Amino acid sequence: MVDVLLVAGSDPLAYAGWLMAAGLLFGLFMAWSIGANDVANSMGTSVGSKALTLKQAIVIAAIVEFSGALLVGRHVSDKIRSKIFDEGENATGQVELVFKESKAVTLAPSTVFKTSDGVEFKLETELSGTPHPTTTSGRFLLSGVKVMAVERGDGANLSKGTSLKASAPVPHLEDVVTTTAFKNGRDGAFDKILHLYVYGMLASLLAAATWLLVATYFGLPVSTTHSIVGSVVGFGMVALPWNQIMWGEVGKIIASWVVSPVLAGAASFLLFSLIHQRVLVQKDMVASARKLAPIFMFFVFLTIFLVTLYKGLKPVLKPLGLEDLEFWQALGVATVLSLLATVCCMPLVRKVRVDGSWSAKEGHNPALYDEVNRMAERCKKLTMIATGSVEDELKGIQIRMESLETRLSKTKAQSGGWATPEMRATEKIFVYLQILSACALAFAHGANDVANSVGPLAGVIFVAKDGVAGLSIGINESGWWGVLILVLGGIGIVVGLATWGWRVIETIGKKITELTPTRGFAAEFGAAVTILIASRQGLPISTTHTLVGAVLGVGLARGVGALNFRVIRDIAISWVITLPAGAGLTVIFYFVFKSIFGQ
Amino acid sequence: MAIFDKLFPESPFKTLTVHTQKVHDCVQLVRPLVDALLEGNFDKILELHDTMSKTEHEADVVKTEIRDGLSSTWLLSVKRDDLSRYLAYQDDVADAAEDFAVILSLRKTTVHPALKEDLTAFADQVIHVSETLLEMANHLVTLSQTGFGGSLADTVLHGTTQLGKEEWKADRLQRKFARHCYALEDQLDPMTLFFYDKMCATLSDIANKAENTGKFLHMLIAHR
Repeated sequence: MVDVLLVAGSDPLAYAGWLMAAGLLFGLFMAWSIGANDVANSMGTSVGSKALTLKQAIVIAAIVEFSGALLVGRHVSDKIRSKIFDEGENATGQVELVFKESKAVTLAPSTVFKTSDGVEFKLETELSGTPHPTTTSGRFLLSGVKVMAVERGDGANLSKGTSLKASAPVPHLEDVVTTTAFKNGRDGAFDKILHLYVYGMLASLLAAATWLLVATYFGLPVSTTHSIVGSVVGFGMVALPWNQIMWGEVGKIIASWVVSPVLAGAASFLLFSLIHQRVLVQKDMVASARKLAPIFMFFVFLTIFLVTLYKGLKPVLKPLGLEDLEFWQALGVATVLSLLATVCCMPLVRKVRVDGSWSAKEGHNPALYDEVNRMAERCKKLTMIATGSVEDELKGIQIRMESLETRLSKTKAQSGGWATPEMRATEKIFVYLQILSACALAFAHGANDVANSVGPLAGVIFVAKDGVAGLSIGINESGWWGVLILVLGGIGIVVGLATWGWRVIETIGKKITELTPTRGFAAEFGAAVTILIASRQGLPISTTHTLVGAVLGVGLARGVGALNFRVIRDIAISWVITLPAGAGLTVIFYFVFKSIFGQ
Repeated sequence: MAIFDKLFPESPFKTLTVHTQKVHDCVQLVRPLVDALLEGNFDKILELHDTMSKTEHEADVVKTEIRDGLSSTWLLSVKRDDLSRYLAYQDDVADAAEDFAVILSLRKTTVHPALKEDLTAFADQVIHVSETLLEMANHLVTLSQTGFGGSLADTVLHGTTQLGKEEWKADRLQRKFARHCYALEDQLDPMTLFFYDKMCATLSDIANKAENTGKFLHMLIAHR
């Protein structure tokens, strides 16, 4: 057993507790915003095509978003938190002190160590006090240590496992062994101004969440990802010299914003073309759909399982002391699981029958229903404006319109819209695929977007907890703390979904009825795969924009009657507005925090 | 989520079926018009003429609405020009139906009893042509979403071919009616005969225009 007493000097984060609390609060606020606004993207189509009821959609979204956040979310979180700023190059690391006896040892900061080659080094810890390890056995790990070359006066180049001997013998100390590699270290951007980093992360969270609220209120097209990246970079620009922001990384992120919608568009284009070729133009489209559906199902399952299993379970396995799966192991397990899942889902597809008939003569023109529906809405608006006898008359019309609407909605349901019975049966088969792809999309969304709230939050927590070392600790290495933070982000998203998001799902569901199951599946799966790949690369991309790209892809494959290309302009506007807005708000909040908590 | 509001505009194909329906409504007025003519009820003809021009105007309004709505930023599954042209073809059918109502409203004419049967048969066949077109045109919504392929496309291709045959039947009935008219030329005054001829021409024009629309629809789908 080792009892360790570290005598700390002046704490660089005087209000660590308060800052952590603020971080949790803002992080939850941000996660809530994401849950309220963005989750609708994945579930909207399924509600729109009546594949799921609103309640089912919310429950499924909550579960799947949460798993995505927990299992894949951390890759992106680390990128947003630490990779945007110059982290330095392993200036600090871990050494192991090896003792001869069980006695207390005092290491003076001036103690000089030598390698076997005779080069002299000094140890510096980030705590300005001196470590006093008292030990009853022979080993003690000391982290957050910087090894400085005495002669050159900067960081050492030492490989892992190098043994250092004290040049003037220290009582009871046998040896010091490096347990991490030390490179010719360079200070990270925030190594000396930790408190500013924490203020910046807090400001970024608050700014992005505020901007999301404002933009949503005014109906502006925004992306949560763009808000947070804009905020973090904006903070860096005022807090750091120009060259300490990793512009290469920022460039990569920005490039991914262009690439991801295009990639998703291409994927969805190919996917819908495949469905078109193999199902929709076939003589017996129902039989073709029955044949093809299980294959699609298998691939959706495979995608989810593979992303989860391959390095996905690390934060769960590591604290349990278990090793990660290798790629081929993950692939094997995922294949078996996907096959099982597909076999379980097969009866659903088999069950679908061709029934009902369609005829233009029956007066079941769905356009008629749409028109009446629109007129009923207009009547409602008119009654609000009108007064007196006109109002009474309009109310009468409104009531009659609404009863007509209800009547027509029944015949519309009976005739099943425009489709022929074969089309309807085909769409019914694809309903299951659409639900599945919606889950994949929600999973991907959880994975990518939880990072937006959790990344900066993790930054605040880790730094408040571990000081400088916290800057570069990945969520993987942080044990249960990392899991806890991811869980918190997940909870925030689910709460946002439950309190406000369902309204947005309902609205979007009405808007995108055009995406029937075949098209919805193609768009959602294309988007989900793209987002998951980007997430695994640690790239924070906009899920909304990726889905729009995917829908346009289906449109280019002539899968949707009409699409408005102008949204591309809106996406461009969203870039131009959101980045500076997020950055600007962050700068304001940053200076406010600085004046509250001190320079 | 403003972005999704804009991403999906009102599908012009849905509004297109409203136009199709309106056009067919015009054509369906032909039968009551013929009945009124056979009864010699000129007031009824004038009344139906009013209904006809109202319906035709409504069709025009829908047509303009669709055309104005075809923003150049839209991604459509059919070329914008093709859609406009299709609309124009379909609108011609309504115009022809209106012409028929106009002709009937110009002169108080009675129909020779021997001609009655041929005339109603001819008129019914013209309406049947328009009906076939309506059925095919309504598939356009679904086709527009499936890339114009599949068994439904075959159905419509077959249907539009059938439309040609139906129009040919209407032509034959027209010729039969015309022959019958000239056979009775001794009993009819020249102006009446001239009127019959004119009436016959506009009536067959409806079927012709419907066939043209069908042909264009055929091309629209066959060339995908």
